[in-house]
Amino acid sequence: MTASRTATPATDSAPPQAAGALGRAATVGELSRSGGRVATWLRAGLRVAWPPVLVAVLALAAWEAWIRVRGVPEYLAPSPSAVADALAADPTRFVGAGAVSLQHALGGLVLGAGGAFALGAVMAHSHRLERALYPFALMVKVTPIVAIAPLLIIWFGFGDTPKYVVAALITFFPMLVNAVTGLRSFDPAAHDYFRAMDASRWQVLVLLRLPASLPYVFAALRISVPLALIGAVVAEWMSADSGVGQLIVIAHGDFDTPALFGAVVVLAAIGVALTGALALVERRLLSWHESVREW
Amino acid sequence: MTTSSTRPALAATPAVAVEGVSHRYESHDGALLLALDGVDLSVADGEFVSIVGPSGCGKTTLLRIVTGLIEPIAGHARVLGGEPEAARAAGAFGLVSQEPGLLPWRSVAGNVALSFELAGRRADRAEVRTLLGHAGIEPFADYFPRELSGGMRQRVALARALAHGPRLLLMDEPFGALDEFSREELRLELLRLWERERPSVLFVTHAIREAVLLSDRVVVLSPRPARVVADVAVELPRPRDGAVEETPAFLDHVARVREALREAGA
Repeated sequence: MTASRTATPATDSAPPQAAGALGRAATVGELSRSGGRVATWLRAGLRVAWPPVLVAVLALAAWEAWIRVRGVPEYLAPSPSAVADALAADPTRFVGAGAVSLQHALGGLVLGAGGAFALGAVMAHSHRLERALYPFALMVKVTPIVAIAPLLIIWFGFGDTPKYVVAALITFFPMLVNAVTGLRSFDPAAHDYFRAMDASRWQVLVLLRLPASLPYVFAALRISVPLALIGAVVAEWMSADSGVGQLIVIAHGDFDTPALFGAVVVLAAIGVALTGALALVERRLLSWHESVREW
Repeated sequence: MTTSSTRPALAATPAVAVEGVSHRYESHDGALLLALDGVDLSVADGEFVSIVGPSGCGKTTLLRIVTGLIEPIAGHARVLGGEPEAARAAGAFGLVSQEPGLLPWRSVAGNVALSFELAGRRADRAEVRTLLGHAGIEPFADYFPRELSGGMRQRVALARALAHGPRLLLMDEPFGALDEFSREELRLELLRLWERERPSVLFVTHAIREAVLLSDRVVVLSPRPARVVADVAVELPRPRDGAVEETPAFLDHVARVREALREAGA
């Protein structure tokens, strides 16, 4: 850990002190250094990524070959090239729908996971309150979201609100459970020290409980992020007025199978991007935690 | 720092005055267990007092009563002439427990700076560095706790406990979880650090030699329910170092404490 934090990559051209000491050449040094770093990252990325990329290329090639050799009709199963054509023919349709769904998912996530964390912070302080509220939280979790979605559309009408609410409901429970556990999983010896120092409840929460809960919060987010996307798309699909959900309903009605696959590609891309972004933030914030150990 | 072997004149208000303190708690099967039975204990200003007793005799409970985190069922504790809560609010306590209790997401410097933050003032970088220097951990300022050995972590905990200049240092078997080498090293380190400001210390341990090496007085507790069975004044010159452990006077003190423990049935 120390090494990775303090050491510069071995491939770097000049050590920092040397670049600084050169004075007028410093800017050039800095530039080539950052260029070298990007190249290093790319190379490192490729080294990690080549096995799944190879699998993807092979799978797509086999799929394409199968469709062509067997002459499978496009409405049944389009070839990868047909899907690519559909995406390329009207990219704004897919990107636009994806952006709307992404917004619904993230909005719902902030609402649901944020609210769950706040409630979790309250519940973590009182076992009685936890017992009082937990059954209702569980009820929200076990009720299939498709049963609630029509109700929400009746209540909130079409538009963005029911999408946010569905995505929020579906992300609520994983965060609640993890927040309560996480906010209680602090080191008792550290807590003794805080108490001897006459720390306020607020100081204990912000300086001790909250950071200690982060590994749990991220575990919850890894579950909640894909769920938020599901919630958003289900709500969009039910009201059929925006986002990838609407795109799916329309493509389905038209027997436009390539567009259906296009929708899947868009959702998969959003899901992968969100998960990747989350992993980056997690690595940054949890570098101290054993789950992010690099050796 | 003083090189004289005599204690400075003791101030009128003792750092800790525990009078007739009793406490009991409920065991897992619902029975009430008397942990402390009329314990009297005092720590003079600047005095280093150890509490020695068998495990589970309520030493930790006594420390919690002194910090005001537990209200005893009988008797009372006063700290610096006032209520324990008031002393706590004034930042009078420094605490080192058996587990270091460091924040794993903060560097060594950040952990020591926490004492300033909790005492309500911003930590000065240079000030933190100086403190780390005193504790001999300055080279590790940017390390994280999990990169350190157990002994090093406990050094950080000690530096953190002393950072805000507490008037009363409470130590609850601070070296109990360490290997013998680290323990030896940290005892001497504690002596050295203590000599700088000479805060009052209440030190809980079940290591007799450790208690004698460090203390001005060793208070011996009986098995549960704990009563004070002996109060042994340690008349060894200060500042002390490891060499004192070889002297006949040291061994004589150790024998007296051990004898008191044996008589108490520990």
